Amino acid sequence: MRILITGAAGFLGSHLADRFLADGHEVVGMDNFITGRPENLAHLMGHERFRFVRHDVSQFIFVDGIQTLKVGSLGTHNALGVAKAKGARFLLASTSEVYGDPLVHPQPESYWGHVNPVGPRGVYDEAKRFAEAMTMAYEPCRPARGL
Amino acid sequence: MNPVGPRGVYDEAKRFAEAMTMAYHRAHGVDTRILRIFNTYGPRMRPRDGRVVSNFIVQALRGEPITIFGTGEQTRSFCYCLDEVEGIHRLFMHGDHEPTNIGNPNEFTMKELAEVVLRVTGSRSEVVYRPLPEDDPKQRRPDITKARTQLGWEPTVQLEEGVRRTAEYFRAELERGALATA
Repeated sequence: MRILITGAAGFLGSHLADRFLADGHEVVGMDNFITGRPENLAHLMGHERFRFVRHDVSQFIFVDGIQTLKVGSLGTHNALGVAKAKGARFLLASTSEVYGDPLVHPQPESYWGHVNPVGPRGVYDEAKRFAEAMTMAYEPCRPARGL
Repeated sequence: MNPVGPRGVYDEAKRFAEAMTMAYHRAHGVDTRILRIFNTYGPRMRPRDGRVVSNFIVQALRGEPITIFGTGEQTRSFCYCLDEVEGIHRLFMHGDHEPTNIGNPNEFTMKELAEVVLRVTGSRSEVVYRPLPEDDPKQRRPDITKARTQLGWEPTVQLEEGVRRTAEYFRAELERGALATA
């Protein structure tokens, strides 16, 4: 298989590249090096089945919270467009953050948090939530922070 | 979950990404997977990325105080990166279109994590407490029943071993000067 990994110079992305190469697949790694680091891929440069493309999947400006939202929205949208055009399988690396501060413990996949992001109404609900979050991100001094 | 709190951008971006992924599957028939990653750690983490495992290890190796936010009783579950990658690989190859949790269900308090880091690194750093940031979740632990039954996956590297391997990586980074001014 030929595998495109966005964020390939990141912590998990680089380990994932190693794994797919070890299984004999061809890997195209993509990163803009905003948070990813070239040294995470240094050992793969020159590998015959590995190719690196420096590219920003959201292709816009970079200001912490705004960048986070653009990667999640525009970046995901662009990558899905590629998957659709190529008939490729697409894996979204989402996060336990979608459960928020959970009231159910431990969290099964069926736990919604407050909104079910993959239900039939999810697209509408999330678009509205997204708009709120984007609005707040444009306020100064609202840094994005993951764990 | 609070969509306009300081943590909101990250949570909402991911929720939006999940919704759009599902829409592409439903509307265009794209063969999609949705992976929900819980806290993951290991070599190649950025030393100053603000994650608790890298913070604690770097602080311990440099002999700086280990900072715990809040009482230290809040819990997290930490998955070693190679376990996570194995789970991602199985999901990619054999999973379905619905979201799948891939994480380690063993739960530790921040105090316990600090103890493991101090023991593994042999550091004499003191532990200091700081106020808890707004919106910090009190607990987070994956139910991995789905991954176990559908993918035959579960984590194999336990916290102490994983912290040891991560500390070795950070120690080497420290020695080549990568953490001096980071």
